[in-house]
Amino acid sequence: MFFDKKSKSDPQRSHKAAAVQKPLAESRPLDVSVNRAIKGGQAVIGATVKIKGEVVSDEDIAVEGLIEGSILLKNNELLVGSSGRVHADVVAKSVRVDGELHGDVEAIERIVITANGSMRGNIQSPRVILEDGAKFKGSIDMDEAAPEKTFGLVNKASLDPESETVIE
Amino acid sequence: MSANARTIFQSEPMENRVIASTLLEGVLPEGSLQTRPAKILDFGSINSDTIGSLRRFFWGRLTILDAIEDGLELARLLSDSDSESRLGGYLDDLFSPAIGQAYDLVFLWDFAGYINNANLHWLDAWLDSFVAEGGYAHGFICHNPTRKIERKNWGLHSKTELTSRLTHGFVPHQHLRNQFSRHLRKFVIEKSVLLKDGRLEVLLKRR
Repeated sequence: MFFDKKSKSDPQRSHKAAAVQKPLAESRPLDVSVNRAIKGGQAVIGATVKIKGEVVSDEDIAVEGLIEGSILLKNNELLVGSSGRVHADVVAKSVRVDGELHGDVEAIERIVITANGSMRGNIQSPRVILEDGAKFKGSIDMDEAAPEKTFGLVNKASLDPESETVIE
Repeated sequence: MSANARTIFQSEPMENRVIASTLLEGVLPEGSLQTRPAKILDFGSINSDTIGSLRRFFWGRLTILDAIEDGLELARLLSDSDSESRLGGYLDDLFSPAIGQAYDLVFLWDFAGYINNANLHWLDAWLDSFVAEGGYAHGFICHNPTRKIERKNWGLHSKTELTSRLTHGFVPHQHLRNQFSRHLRKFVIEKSVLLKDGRLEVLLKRR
């Protein structure tokens, strides 16, 4: 299945962001109290927790442990922390991979794979954001002809300008 | 800059460099001309330039193998008869996202340079299984065997430009055009261009 929606490309911003790389040392295990990525409701799957099955949530999820199965967060974000392992198909508003993700991902807004992150599977998302050193094996569906208004541009302010290589 | 300083500078990973490439014109699937989603296979690692440029004009699926760095281990297994049992599993894992797919275009980049001469027939067979009828493969071999080929990470910058970034070390094997086409019997070198760094950029068409 090919993705049928995408946001407008902005080469200038892509180029600018591509020159900025986040140092590896900045990555650290997720700490709820200092988690800057997620505001509002959030569930943390701790490093010693293992879940097998279907995970459905109306709040953001941060994974430092292991989830096997499937994850559905239609209006929320999945954060795979640096010690997190997700072996599951994922549907989420956005996905950030600092750890390991094996499975197919449909990210409605965007997916970020950090320098520490490793992903294996297929991606459907209007925005794929890579840090230098990110590991990926799999497929990315693209559609140059899709109407940009379907998703529109992600608010620039919501991006972390110091850490991302932005691809639209 | 002194000669020493230049040597040190050149041995460090460098910024991306963009070079012109005329071989891909008319070969890269373009969304506005496509009647179906196309498929591109990239043997290299995920590259923001490649994704960014394809996003602008391509309709279809890009599959990334991240196989170049595994080339050395693959070459070892291919050359070691005792590793035959391991080889099958290794290949399945290495190529798993692409197995059973037929691609309109395959970016080999420097992958052939990790396969020794005796095993080029193996590359011929695998490539044949990945490339669709009438499809193409693009990559680099060498035109000057006396010059070592520096390792680079490659990507697509635009329809007519490639991007490269120097990494450490050298590509282990060098194949000249005649040698290469003798072993890749299921493909014909349709076009080629000499590059300043000793590489020969080649466009292979499936026979």
